[in-house]
Amino acid sequence: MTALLAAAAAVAAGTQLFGWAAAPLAGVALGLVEAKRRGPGSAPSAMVASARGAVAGAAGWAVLLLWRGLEAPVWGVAGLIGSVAGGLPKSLVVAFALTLPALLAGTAAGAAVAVSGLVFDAAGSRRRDR
Amino acid sequence: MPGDLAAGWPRQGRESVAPRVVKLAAWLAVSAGALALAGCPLGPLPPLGPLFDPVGGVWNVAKFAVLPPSDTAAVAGLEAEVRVVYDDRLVPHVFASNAADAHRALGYVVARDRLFQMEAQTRATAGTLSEWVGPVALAFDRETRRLGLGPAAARDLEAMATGRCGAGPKSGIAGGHDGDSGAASATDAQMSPGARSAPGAPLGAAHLAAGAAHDAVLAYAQGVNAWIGRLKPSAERPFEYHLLGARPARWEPVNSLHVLKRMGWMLTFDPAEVRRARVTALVGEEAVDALFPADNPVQEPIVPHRGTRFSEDPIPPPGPGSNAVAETVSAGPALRSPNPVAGSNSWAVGPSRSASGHAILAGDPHLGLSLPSIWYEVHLVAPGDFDVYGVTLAGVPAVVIGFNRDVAWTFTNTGADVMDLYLEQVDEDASPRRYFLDGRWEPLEARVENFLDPTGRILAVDTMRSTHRGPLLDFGDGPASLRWTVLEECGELHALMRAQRARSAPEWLEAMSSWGAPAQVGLVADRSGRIAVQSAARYPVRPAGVRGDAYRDGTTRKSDWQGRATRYPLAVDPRQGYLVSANQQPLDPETTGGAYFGSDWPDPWRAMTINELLRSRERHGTADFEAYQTHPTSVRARLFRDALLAAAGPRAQADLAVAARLLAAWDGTYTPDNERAVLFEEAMTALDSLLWDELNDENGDRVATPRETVLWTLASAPANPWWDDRTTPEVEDRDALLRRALAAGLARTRAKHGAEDGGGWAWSAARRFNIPHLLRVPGLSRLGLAATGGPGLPSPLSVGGSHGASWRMVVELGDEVVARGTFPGGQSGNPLSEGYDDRLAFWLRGELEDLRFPRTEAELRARGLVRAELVLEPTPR
Repeated sequence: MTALLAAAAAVAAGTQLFGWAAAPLAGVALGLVEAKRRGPGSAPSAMVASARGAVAGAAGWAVLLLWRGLEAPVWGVAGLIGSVAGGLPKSLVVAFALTLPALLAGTAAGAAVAVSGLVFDAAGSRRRDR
Repeated sequence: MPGDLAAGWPRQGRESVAPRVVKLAAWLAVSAGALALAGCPLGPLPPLGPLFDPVGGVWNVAKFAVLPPSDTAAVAGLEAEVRVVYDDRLVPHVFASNAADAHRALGYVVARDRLFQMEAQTRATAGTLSEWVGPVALAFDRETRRLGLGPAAARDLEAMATGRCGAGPKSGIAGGHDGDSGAASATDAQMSPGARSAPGAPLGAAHLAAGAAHDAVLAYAQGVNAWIGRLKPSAERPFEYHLLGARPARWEPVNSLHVLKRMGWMLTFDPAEVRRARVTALVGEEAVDALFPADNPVQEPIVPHRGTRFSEDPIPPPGPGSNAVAETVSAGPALRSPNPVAGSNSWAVGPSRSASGHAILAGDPHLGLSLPSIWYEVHLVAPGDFDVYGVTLAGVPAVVIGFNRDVAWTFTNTGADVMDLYLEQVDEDASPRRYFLDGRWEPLEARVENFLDPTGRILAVDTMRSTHRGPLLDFGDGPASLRWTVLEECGELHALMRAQRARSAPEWLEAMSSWGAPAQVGLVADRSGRIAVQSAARYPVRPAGVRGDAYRDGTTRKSDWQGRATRYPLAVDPRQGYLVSANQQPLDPETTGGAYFGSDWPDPWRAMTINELLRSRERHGTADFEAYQTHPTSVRARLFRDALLAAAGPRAQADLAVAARLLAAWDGTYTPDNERAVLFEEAMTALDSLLWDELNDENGDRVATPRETVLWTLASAPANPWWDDRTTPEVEDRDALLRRALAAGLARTRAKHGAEDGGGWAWSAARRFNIPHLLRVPGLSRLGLAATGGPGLPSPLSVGGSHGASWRMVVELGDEVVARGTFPGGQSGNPLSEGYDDRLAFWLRGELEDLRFPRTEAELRARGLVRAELVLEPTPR
């Protein structure tokens, strides 16, 4: 839970600095943490990391959007985007706006776990061979 | 090191390497897909990552949807604090202590509401839209840059800096005229430089420094850039910038001139030479002279002459096509017409025809409609200098149409011929370097233009060439150089700035003397009850006997313009007590001695209708004027309906009898619920198709269509060969063709809208207003709007519905100015703002709104009309 909250906070804070790229970056970090904790390369760990990354990404942006909404009515912006996209309802636009960081952070976390497994296993094998 | 690190990792659920590589590849692929989704455009949407970014993305637009009740900002260059109060209609009232500060504040408030529109218009004129949207705009950019509007704007700015654009000819009307008048004329030699203001000199239109317009664009740019500078660079920008993935560019002073040049293009770019050559190829010179005449066959001139006059000149039959040039031209590319139904109305009554005894003026310029709206309402106060209310174009530091405490004015397009094409002989087709002139080769001026995409990559490189006359173009008939007053004149802003300071109608007319292009008919009324109309421009002086609507020989300077002159059609305080301008030919040719002023003048149906309304009663009030602007019927409808019914006759059979019965029941109105206007318009369309079959090319495409006044003239010759439909073995006469048109109109209407009693014939089912967003995004446009309007009506409604009255205004000049107005949109360019389209409902109903014209900020506050306030302060030195 701590890692999840930290990741969500990282997404929220990172977005201030790096824009949307913060979501996949936070996902990678989360994936590496997850890999270290559960063991690299294990299928469950990649899936779990991915799920956590998705939650963290969506949560991070949700917090930011709520914050933004206190300043001005972002609901109307969703309507505008929906109309430009051919008449999508506002709720769908907001849902998609939260799905995007979830997708970015989740897939990045999963990929990080998978990569770390191969890289570190290869390194470990070489060490054992020596 | 990696080995040491890996050694510390726990190991669980070990798999062999191969499946893990596959899984890794899958994860990477999905991740790459997610990144692509976030980083690449998706249909009409830009990359979704930056768009949805809660910090820097589109959500910021909401922040600017509502004006903060109180705000303060610093503007570089301000000499003193400027107070701006927004009234209940979101109109900013700018109270500055001097003119320059007022212009700075104007730049700031317009940018605050219309930044995207300002840059879009500038890019459209400069030919840099592809830097926003990529290759899709390349053809447009190429065409625009070939015309050379951008360089012309740059030349204007340079000339303005040296005060060369404030000079204008004296029109000689400062002392006023009595009774009807005609054309005043002044040549270049008679022009005098604009008067410079001196400290302590009395203020007014005649006292404006020649460099004042230059100062104004510089000050305006400071205001615009102050607003841009206030936006957080990575996040805060109008909605459209988010869609384009672009950021606002710094506003340059020349941009104001781009906006004016674009207006010149919209209102005067009409290569009549190409049309004439194409028609000549089909039916010969004599016929084309009659079908596209230099003088409209129905006269209701702006300068009162003798009322409505119908020509009795016969129209010669179609002849054999001729002319090698014309044959080449007929195969040329289709012409892009910037504004096919641009038109406008204006009229004014003096005290003798006004219910209140005060002069009243009405104006409604018709342009292509758009969102954000073309116009922006503003009230500018610089004590002792000007106190003016009206509409400005986003990007222009002046009120274009409006009123001050003494004078009200408006414009309609003159429609005069101010551009000519010259066929040139060049040394090489593909990449010419010289053109032949007076027996020798002269070098072409060449300018290399790079076209960039949004990433800065070069999309294309073109060499633009020009002769001593202007840019070298090609309409499909070989190289032709263009001479066009819009590329050469620069005194318009100076004229507008003087006009908004005028204290009387004669002073206003004098102020317009530096106006060069586009040719505009200015109508003015003042508090003393004077009314006047003047077509302001500097017109080409062509060689004797030469019309400007035919290609001319470019190989000799004898073809060139011999100068420019102000042939002002002018009328001041006419005996009839009123003046009407609605794009009709300004002067009855009976009064001009055959001088060429233009050709193919717009039909005077609107002018005739408005004249009829003004003649219909002795005195008129502001409410009458307001109603006239959306009067639901026209002279055109009455004339042609009666002609169709007369041709059908009492013994009509079958469908023709049905059509005649339905049409006879039509009251001639074009209200949204009217169920007969649609039949009439379909019959007129059928008539147009049947009658002018000789003007179709070998593919069956119409080359050009004569004005309806030519059709009306033809109606007085029932057996004229033009009435014959060449596709049938019979020889039709007028009545036969009118009957066929009426029957065809019924068939077409039934095909499109069902049976006549089925409830589908409402006019609003056939035609509606469509107001597109500048980016043509449907969600940001307002489409399918029902309102009174139609062909020949004071409120025109084109087939596409995207042209119409862009601003409606009625002003009564009593002791206190009383003004009402509205436009189809709103003050704000932010689609989230209530001010984006809050005036639209009024406009559709044909209603105007009270315009607030307080003398002080306190006056507005006392009436409880202050919506928001803004204080602009000088930047700390």
